[in-house]
Amino acid sequence: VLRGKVELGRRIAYIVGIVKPKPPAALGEFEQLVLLAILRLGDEAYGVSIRSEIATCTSREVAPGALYTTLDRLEDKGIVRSRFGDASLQRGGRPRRYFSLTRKGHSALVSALEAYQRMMDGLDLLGGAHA
Amino acid sequence: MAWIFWGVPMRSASLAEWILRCCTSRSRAASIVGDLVELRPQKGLFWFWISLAGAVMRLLWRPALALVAAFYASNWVFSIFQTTLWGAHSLHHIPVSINIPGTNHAVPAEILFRILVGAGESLWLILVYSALRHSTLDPSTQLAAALTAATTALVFLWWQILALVGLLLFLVVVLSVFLLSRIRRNALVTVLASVLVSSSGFMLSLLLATVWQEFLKPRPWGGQDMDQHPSVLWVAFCLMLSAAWVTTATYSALRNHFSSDRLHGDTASKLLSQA
Repeated sequence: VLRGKVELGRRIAYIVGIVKPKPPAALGEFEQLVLLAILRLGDEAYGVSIRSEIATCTSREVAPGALYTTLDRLEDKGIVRSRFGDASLQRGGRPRRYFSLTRKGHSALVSALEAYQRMMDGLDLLGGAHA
Repeated sequence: MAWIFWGVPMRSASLAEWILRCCTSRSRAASIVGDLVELRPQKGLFWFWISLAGAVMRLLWRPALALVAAFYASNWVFSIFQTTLWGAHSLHHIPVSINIPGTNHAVPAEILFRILVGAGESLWLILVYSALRHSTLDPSTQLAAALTAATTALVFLWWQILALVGLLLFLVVVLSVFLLSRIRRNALVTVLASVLVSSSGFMLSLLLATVWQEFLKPRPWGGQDMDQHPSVLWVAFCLMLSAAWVTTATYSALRNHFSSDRLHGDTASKLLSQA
């Protein structure tokens, strides 16, 4: 009940202009790659497949440690959420941890990509004088 | 062989999982090792261990840095609080014992001061560690910040009735807010249990350091004695650092336990128990 009232108060404050809406979380370049890989993989996004998707699309070998710390950080920030799948013999009886974007993660990614797009507007990098 | 999964000896995978569990939660450790085991047939056993070492390093550098910073901050705070309390005691001629309002009991000021210094030192340790390791947005960090602010204010203003009333009200509000939701209640348990562990750990380490000092040479000690027995300082330092490490390990373990429950519910525990 209290949380609902706080949320209502926050919305009213946004509407009357007392409080500015929070800007989406800032994302680093690697974080954006990880989030795009999760989006591309859909329901099959887990450590191995995310790593493989990034390698396929960017020809970049990602260190497992870097990937897991990034995923943990993104989950702690509420940008991705994780769920555990079934344990399999192939994995020594250990479950897969599947990742998906939260609403907050989606808006952060869209905001980061829009910023890139704005920076690229007017530049013909992919086929013009700079290519 | 039954104890081999896709070329990785099960004992290696179990050992890898045990190592990772020292740095992260049980469910996260299991999923990381599962991924490494899955990739092992293509990448090789050497890659498996190198990747594990890389993951451990990446998971550990932040807690290690946070531990060093928190230990330094807590020692610094310890000396400042001690100087302030005992300095105020002699400056303002505060009575040796303090009456508890509404009762006939009087508590020696020395005991109250020691509790305040111990709690303040522990809270600063937890606050700095939690802020660096888990960010300032974490409910446990926010609670530690509120309690640290209250304790620090108490150290500097404890003889002013108005300040005491204000702090009491502040604590009531903070505790009420943190009792309302489950996540915040978990944060409350985490911080209070860590303060208890920290205070006990620091007291034990001081006791052991004193025993070592007495063992080397019974008191009184002069400056020359300290030069002759430098191990006194090193032993005290190592014991205090161990107490700080036990505190931060307890804090992280409790936080991981609660956040694991919150994020995954029963699913992770069920799967892991089946595995």
